[in-house]
Amino acid sequence: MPEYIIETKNLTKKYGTQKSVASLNIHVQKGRIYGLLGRNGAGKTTTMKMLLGLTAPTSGEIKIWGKSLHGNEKKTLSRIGSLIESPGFYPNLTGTENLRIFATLRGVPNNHAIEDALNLVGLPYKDKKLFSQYSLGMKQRLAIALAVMHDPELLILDEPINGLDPIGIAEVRSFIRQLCDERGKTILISSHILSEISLLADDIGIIDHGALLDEESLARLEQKSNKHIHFTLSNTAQAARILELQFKENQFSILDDHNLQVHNLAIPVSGMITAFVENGLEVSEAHTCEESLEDYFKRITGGEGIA
Amino acid sequence: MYMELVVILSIVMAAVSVAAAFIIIGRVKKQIMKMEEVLRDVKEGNGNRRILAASRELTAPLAYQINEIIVSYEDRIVSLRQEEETNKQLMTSLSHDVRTPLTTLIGYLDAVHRGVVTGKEREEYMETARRKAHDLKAYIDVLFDWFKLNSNEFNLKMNVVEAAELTRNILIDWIPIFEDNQMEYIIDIPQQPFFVKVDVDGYMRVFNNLISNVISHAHADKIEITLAKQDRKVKILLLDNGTGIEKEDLKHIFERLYKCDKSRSEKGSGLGLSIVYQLVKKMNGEVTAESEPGKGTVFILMFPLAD
Amino acid sequence: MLRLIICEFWKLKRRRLFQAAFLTTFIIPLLYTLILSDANLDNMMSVVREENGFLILMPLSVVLAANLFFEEHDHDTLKNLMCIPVSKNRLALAKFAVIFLFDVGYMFVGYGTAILLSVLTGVPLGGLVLQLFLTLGTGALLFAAAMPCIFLVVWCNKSYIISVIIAFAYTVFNYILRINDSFMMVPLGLNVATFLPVPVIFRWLYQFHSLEDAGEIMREFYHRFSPYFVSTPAVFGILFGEGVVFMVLMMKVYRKQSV
Repeated sequence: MPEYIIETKNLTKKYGTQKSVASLNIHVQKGRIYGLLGRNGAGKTTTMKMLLGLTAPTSGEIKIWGKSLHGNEKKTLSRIGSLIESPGFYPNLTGTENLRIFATLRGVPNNHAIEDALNLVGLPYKDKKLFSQYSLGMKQRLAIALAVMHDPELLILDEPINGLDPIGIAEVRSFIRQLCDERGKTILISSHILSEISLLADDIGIIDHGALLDEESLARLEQKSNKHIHFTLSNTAQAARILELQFKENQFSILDDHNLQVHNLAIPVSGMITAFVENGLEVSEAHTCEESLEDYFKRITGGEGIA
Repeated sequence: MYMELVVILSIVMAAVSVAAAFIIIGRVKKQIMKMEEVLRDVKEGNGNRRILAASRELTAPLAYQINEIIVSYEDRIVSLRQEEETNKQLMTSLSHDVRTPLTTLIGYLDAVHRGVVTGKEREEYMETARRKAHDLKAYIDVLFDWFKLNSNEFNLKMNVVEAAELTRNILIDWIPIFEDNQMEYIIDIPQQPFFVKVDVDGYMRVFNNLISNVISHAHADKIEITLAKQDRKVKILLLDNGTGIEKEDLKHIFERLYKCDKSRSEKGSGLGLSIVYQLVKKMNGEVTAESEPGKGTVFILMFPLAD
Repeated sequence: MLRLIICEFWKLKRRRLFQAAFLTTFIIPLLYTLILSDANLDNMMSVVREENGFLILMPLSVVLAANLFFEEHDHDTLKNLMCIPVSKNRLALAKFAVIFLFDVGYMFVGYGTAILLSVLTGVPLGGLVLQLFLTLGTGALLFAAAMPCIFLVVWCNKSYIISVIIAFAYTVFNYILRINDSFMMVPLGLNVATFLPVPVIFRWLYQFHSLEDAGEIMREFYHRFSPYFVSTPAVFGILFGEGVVFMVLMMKVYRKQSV
């Protein structure tokens, strides 16, 4: 039984008659990165806002650290770092001054928290530049600094790479990964970009029109969607030799003594089976898996796909 | 009149001080209760929990000290966990990346052993098996280097050395191999000395990995290696006219093997560049790559000049 | 709570509007001394209280309040505060505290300016403690008197321009009420005049006018008016009550406004 940091039960949010989030059940495991994938307007931000108590759910339940969020906001929220929608700061103050306000109100774990957070995102400490003079990328960096300043156990990041340049994206990606791998933080991120989520997340929840379509670990998804021809046969060593010699093919992996996957889909399956049988091998199963991750998402979101 | 004023003032001041004392005691009490709660959580094994305090709070120094202790223990746990993780990856790599070539090799030897082939074909099988065994050994060598680097067991001895001479010496050994592969080579290394602080063995590995990567993957017939001074750095360019690397792949070429490379059967692929990246980083240098598909690739190495 | 108030002040850093606002406290006393040669401290202090206070500080505090209450929304910082978490009630209270301190501080600076000008122009000083009490008291009362208007502004939740218009309309309206007998010359009780904050404050202030070198008209006015003077506890009681009611209402409105 995995330990869930965030668990929602039939979480629903209605605006008027419009359901922005419908009966959502997500499960974020401890020490993993959970990617909420969905198009703009799919309900990602609303979900995150509810998790942070910024808007009240119409119905359903949110449990964070096993406790209902409702009624435990004070204790729960101080352990979470968050970034929701566009960065919001006081334009007449510098980045450091802005962070100091939030550090004073929330408290920090040490004396150099502000400096550390700014260093982490690559912004100068005690710089003279006002927030109003910041570029979009700098604003986003400052928002990330705010999210990590108090060294929280759980990070909820809504489209964290928005507005960042490619180098910034790579940096942010690597430190999010680091926070999870090295510090054991639990992270919930949202994105509308499939490649972003697949590069970063351990578990993926696909959300469309407010409903969760699928929730699965990336490893399983990749397994599901890795293009290959799978063979179950009597001797993989001989099969490998045949593939190399007869088909000049070296793009295959041997899983164990009886299972083998060929990654080149261009080779006809019947030809391979014939060759194996002619060489005295018994082939008990052969099937093709040719759905890419993109195809998979396209199918699951009903043909439209996710950018 | 004045007496009255003095009396009133003293009463007011006394009242104010008593009230202030109560407020302060109340706040400290609240802080201590908060600390107690956090520490209980930490005791139960949650090393990610921190005590948050605004820097001017009375209890802040105490809270910060406790946090520091928690962090330092957490760091030790993290490094243990990382070793565990590396071991796990080693297991995965062994099972995935070594099994395929090894099983294939067995396929050839079994065929010979069972007398499936005879005469000249038998000789060919033996030769293929021998070559595969060597490839496998080379691959395992690389694999272990990579894991040593990742588990920080790779000890670098940083010394001030002369880069031009060292580079020339490395390249001398490669010239016959360039000629064997019918590759045109241009080497432009100035006579003047450049002193850099590197590990000689590491520096050689970086070059050997990069050049062997060009030879086995780039399909180039021309290689150009230049060394020059730029600002306070030595800049080394390694240019080929091979197939180049697609933009999408270029972003990931220095990343770890298991996320990007699906064709595991090609020997050592993925690992070599990852080792280059790690080594260069450990020697305080930088390595980047630029490429145009169809035209070629250039690897750029930068090492800071020693004073 | 204290930290929230301190943070509210940090947020005002480099906001020209507030620095400029504070400077206006010097202008009217200065003009007064320059124009009237027979200035005495008593009159100068009433100018600080009445013109500076009711004509300038009143709209200023409404505009300041509008700024404070809109700024989290304008800069999208409310979500950051909510996630800390900071309760909206406490945040609103901190903003009230800032306005209160601004009002009292503004009056105190006016008081200091009047004294300084008196010293410079050789006007004798006297009754400083009473004047200090009256001036700071007026500041505190003005804070409460501005509450209904601030409530209106927050409730409308409209742009700054609308709030400025509301603020000036409220100021002018009050300034006119002050010279209207039907609001000024009414005994305390359950009537409109009792609950209009500004006339009540004037009815409290007028009784402290010194009659020493006042003219005949002044004396006559004072005597005609004296039955309607409002005592110190009464004025503070009424305005405290009104202030609390409007602050509670405002917190309710502020709490409802979405992130």
